[in-house]
Order: sequence, then C-alpha cells, then structure tokens
Amino acid sequence: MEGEALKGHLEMLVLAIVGAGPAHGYAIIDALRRRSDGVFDLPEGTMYPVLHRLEQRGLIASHWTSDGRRRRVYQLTPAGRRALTQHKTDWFTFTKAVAAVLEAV
Amino acid sequence: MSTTDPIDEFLFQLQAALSRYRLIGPRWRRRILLEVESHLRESAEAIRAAGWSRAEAEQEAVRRFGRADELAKQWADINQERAQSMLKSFIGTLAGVTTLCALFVVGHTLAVPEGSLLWIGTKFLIGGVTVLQGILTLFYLGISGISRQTLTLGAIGLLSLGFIVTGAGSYEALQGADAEYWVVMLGLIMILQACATIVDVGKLPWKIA
Repeated sequence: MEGEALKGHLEMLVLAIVGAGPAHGYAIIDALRRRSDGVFDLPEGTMYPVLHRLEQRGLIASHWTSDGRRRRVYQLTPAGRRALTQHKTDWFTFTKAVAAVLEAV
Repeated sequence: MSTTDPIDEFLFQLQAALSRYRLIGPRWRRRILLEVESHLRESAEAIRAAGWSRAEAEQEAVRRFGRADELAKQWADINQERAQSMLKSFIGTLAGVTTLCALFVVGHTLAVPEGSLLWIGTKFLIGGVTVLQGILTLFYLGISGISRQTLTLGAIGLLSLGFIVTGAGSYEALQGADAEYWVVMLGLIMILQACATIVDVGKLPWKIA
C-alpha cells in the first residue's frame, strides 16, 4: 500500500495493535507488517512520531521496561479504547458504504 | 557519541537533526534517542538471525528505519501541536481571570444611580459581551458547517472591536471619567478571546464537522 494512503489510517491501526495488549515500538511495527501480510510496510521510524502523538493526546500511555533490553512499552488508556471503538465503527460504516457502491457497478 | 557503526552514525545524525528544532527539548530528545537505539539494535539482531553479517544487519536496520531529517521534522510537528495547545490553555486561563476581574469591577460600577447614562451604557456593554461570549462558545462547540475562513473573520472582527473598546475605555479613563477602567478590561477580554480563537483556527481542518 502506498505510504501516503496508509499514513491517514496509521493512528487507528496503531491503536488496534496496542489495544490487543501492551507492546513496544518494534513489536508494533512487526505486528502491523505480519497482520497485513506485508502490505503495510512503512519506514519503521515513522511509527514513533505516531506513537508519541497518540501519547500526547492521552490515547496511549508508556513506560520503560528492562527485561534484558530497555524498551518503551505502550498500552491503551480508557480514552484510547473509546477512540478505537469509534474509529472501528466509522471505518466499518465507510468500507460497507464503499463496497455497496462498488458492487453495484 | 562514537560513530564506529551504522547505528551509532544514524543516532548521531538524528541527534543533530533533532537539535535543529528548539521545540524538541533535551529531555524529549534523550527519550527519542534511547527508544530509537533500542529499536535499531533489536531490528539488527533480527536481521542477523536471518544470516546477515553484523555490519550488513546494522546497515539494513538503519535503512528500514528511514531518514533522520524527515523523522526529526515529524517530531517537531508534534511538539508544535503541543506548544499551540499550551498557548491556547494559557490564553484561555488569562481570559478567564480577566473576566472574573471585570465582573468584580462591573459589580462596583453598577452601584451608580439607575437610569443614569453610565448605567444604561453598562447594560448595553454587558449585553454585547454576553452575545459575543455566546458566539465564541458556539464556535468552540464546533457548529457543523462553519468554515475556517468564517472563524478567522469573526476572530479578526472581535479583535478589532476589542481594540476599539480598549482604546475608548483608556481614552475616557485618561480624561478622568469615573470608573471607565472596567471598559478597558472588557476590551481586553475581547482581544484575548479573539487571540484564543485565532490560535485554535490554526489547528482546525478547513471545515468543522
């Protein structure tokens, strides 16, 4: 998928991955790549500004862990969970509508 | 910082790129660098496990990460948003404090005899400010369909009005008129609210929806 097209949805995707359980940046990027079968393959560094923006908005929280390697682990906040639910609702409504239009052709 | 391997070299470049943005403070820079280093080392290890040499793996991890200058710009944008938010909070707080002060002063001014010119003027000014406050509240609540252009024009109008009221109040006060200083405060409230709106408009998409 084109980088620019993906960037608009990256925050929602990151919230979804972190929503599945606490994870550090590398694991989040890895999960994004694996779950999309390699379709979502952005420069890895792009993920960190997204994570930091979500953190500043209070949608995720983070802390350092040090089990062998020092990592910053991110997890969803209650506000983040609400935002994720809203994103999912909006997304499914949108894709359903687009599919209905395309199938009619 | 040593520049003996590709990861250290990249971290050095990233540190230099981040340092170019004053909004990214030293503490925030340090966190970014620690997090990026941890990521790059883990990524290089995973690549090595696939059979690459150490030097090649580190080079590949850096390549996959992206350009230091582009990433630094993205972090700077985030801090810009944060700074705007803090500025908005500051102006809002200042406007609130000024409103409270003005209301206190208005209370004193209303002690003038009912029916006098000052009493009538006070009524109209309070009414006017209430209407403006109401309009601004509606702006902040995000009325669907109000364009950024309308908001900007409204804020500029309010700013102009604020300057006129402040100027008129200041002039009257300098002429020695009694208790006209509260008019200056009302003017200042308008200016502050207009500034808060302008700061907000800078962050809004073209349409509020």
